[in-house]
Amino acid sequence: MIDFTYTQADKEILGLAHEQAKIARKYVRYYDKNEFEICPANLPEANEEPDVRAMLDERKDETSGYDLINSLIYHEEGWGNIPLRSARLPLGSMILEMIGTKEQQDRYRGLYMAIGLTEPGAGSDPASIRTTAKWDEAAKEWVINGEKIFVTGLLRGHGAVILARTSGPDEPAKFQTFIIEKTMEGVHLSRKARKMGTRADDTASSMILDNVRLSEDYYVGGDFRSAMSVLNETRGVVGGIALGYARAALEETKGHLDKAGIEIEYGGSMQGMSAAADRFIRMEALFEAGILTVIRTKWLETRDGPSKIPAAIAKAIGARATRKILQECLEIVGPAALSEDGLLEKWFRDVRIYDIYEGAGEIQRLILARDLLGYSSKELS
Amino acid sequence: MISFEMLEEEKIAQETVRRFATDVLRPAARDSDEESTLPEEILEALWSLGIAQEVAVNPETERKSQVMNAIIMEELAYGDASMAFALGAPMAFLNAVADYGTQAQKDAMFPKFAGNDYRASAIAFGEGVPNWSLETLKTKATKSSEGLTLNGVKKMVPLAERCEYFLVIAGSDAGPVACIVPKDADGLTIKPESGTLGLRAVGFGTIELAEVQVPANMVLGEGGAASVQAMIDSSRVALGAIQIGISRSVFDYVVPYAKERIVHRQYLAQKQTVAFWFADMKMEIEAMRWMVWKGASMLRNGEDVTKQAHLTHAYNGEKGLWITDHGIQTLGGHGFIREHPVELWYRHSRSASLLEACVAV
Repeated sequence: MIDFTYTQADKEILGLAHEQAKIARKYVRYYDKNEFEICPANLPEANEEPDVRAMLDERKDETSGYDLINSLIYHEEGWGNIPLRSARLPLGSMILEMIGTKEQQDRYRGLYMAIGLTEPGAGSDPASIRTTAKWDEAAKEWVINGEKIFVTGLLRGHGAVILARTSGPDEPAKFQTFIIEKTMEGVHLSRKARKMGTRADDTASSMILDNVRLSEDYYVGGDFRSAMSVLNETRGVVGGIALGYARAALEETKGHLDKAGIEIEYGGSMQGMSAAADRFIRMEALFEAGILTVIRTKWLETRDGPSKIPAAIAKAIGARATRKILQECLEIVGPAALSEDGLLEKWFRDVRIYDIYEGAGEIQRLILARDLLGYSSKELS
Repeated sequence: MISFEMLEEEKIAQETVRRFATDVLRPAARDSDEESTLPEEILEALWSLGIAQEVAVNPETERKSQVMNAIIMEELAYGDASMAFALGAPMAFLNAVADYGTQAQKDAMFPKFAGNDYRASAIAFGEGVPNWSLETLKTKATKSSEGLTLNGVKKMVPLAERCEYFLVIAGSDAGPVACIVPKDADGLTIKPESGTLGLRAVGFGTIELAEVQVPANMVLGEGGAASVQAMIDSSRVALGAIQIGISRSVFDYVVPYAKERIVHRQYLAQKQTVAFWFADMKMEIEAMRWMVWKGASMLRNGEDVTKQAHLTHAYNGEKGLWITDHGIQTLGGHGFIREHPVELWYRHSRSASLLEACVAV
């Protein structure tokens, strides 16, 4: 039956997630101001707080669905900006879970493995990747040369799963997956990237790979496409995390409106409202449409498993909605929104990346357009 | 528990009404708009679906849920939005009587709409001002010895010249009231509007009320306590559903067009700009649906839906306009010509997004 009511277990789990997000909020301005400090995976209070995802594991049969409620926990963590207890399985680790050997999975279990795709000349187009992997028959080693940039989690993490080109420059492009550990010879990490926002995120500005030698144990069989299918699970979640910021901004904005005596009333004339009320309500509507889209994607995933198109839709809508909501919230509040006394200015800076990384909005639309039109990448570029 | 799973009967109704909309309604849509009239055979075919008059025919049984009605409204609008209004308007009247009417009011009204022939009725709400409110309605209901006396002017009343009864919304000392008024009441004058941008076949009209007497037992609700806000809310959810139907019509029409049309030795659909419009149309049609389904399911569950209905009306109106607008752009000059339906859908969408308290789920 079509329904949008949370179960008792849903409410308790998400209620706890929200309380934990409130605890994490106390730290967000500090890590925004002190970006070169590595934000810990677990904030101090994590020791005293129950593990909300363990609660979800225990009670999943009483919920609306594991993937759905897990994604809404991430949504609350977006509201809090920093997770109290970082659970997000890093993309590199997810790839190993999907296509790594059992030995590789055992070797890296519990370790943070980032993903290294992006390069100075390759962002939305992974086929432009220039990092090379050449097989040295004599030494029975792969030799990796290249540079990966914007690698999230690498400074705090153990290493990265990277994509490198194994074919020669004149051959058709072929890419393979490899495991890099930070401590390997030839791996040079630069400092943390100086970002406009999400400064608590440990984003390595660059990782240079200078004749890094890898035995077969560091080669991950399985092709590019299967590695990328991991994004079908994460994209919707990212849309939901973005919307957590959007919800926070709407609440903050409502606070400003309340203090200014600007009333928000529902049910009356659309045309007769003040501009501030009309804009605010439209942003609430945009948020609602966004979160329902994420919920739908994750509900489908609970029922049918992860899928490319719903994931693309949730990412595209959630991220674009959040971008717009933050812009409008500052517009509604006016100059007071600019001050570091509040968090609106921080969230404005934070959310802008969400329509860019993990597949820019345009890429999601390209994926969706090709699918609905039945076009290949040659037919629709 | 959160779920998007339609019930079996909802899937069947969706399929059935979609086929009816495609086979019966859509072919008649253009002429109906050109002539600003709903053909009698279309009205009879719509009535024979049994949807609008269900509460009148079977007052004892539980009526179709608001979710079911939202699904049906979307499909009817996929055929033609004016034709969706032809059922939606009497539904608004009859559902209000079902939800709030006293037994005497139900006994008086339901038999009038329980026959096999199409019978129209509508809520008379609008007053032609952008900044209306339920506290400052210009149409006034003042106490008389028998009940209430109505004075004022109601605008944009659907099916005005066809209606047997109106549910006139007026302001009183006790707040907004809904009065059941027959078409031939003394002091009631019905005038057609001078044509409208879209939904032309609905036949909107102006109702002038000069000392119209309403007996106390015809003021809707126990002690006149019918909730006008609830009628606005249900209408907003239904209008949201109508927007989805219109938007889907556009999508289904312009995408195949763009896949055939050659521009600069490529199909129009291969232009990234155009392809991205289609991606956004698809995503927004789905988002609009979740907004409506949430509102409709909250109504079914008996929850307060005023906020969700407001959000849905705002969002779906905006997105419906965007989609129909870009549908026209996709067709270029042909989008402007009445030989193609897209300009009609643009006018329908713009019109539906501005109306209130006219249809229902």
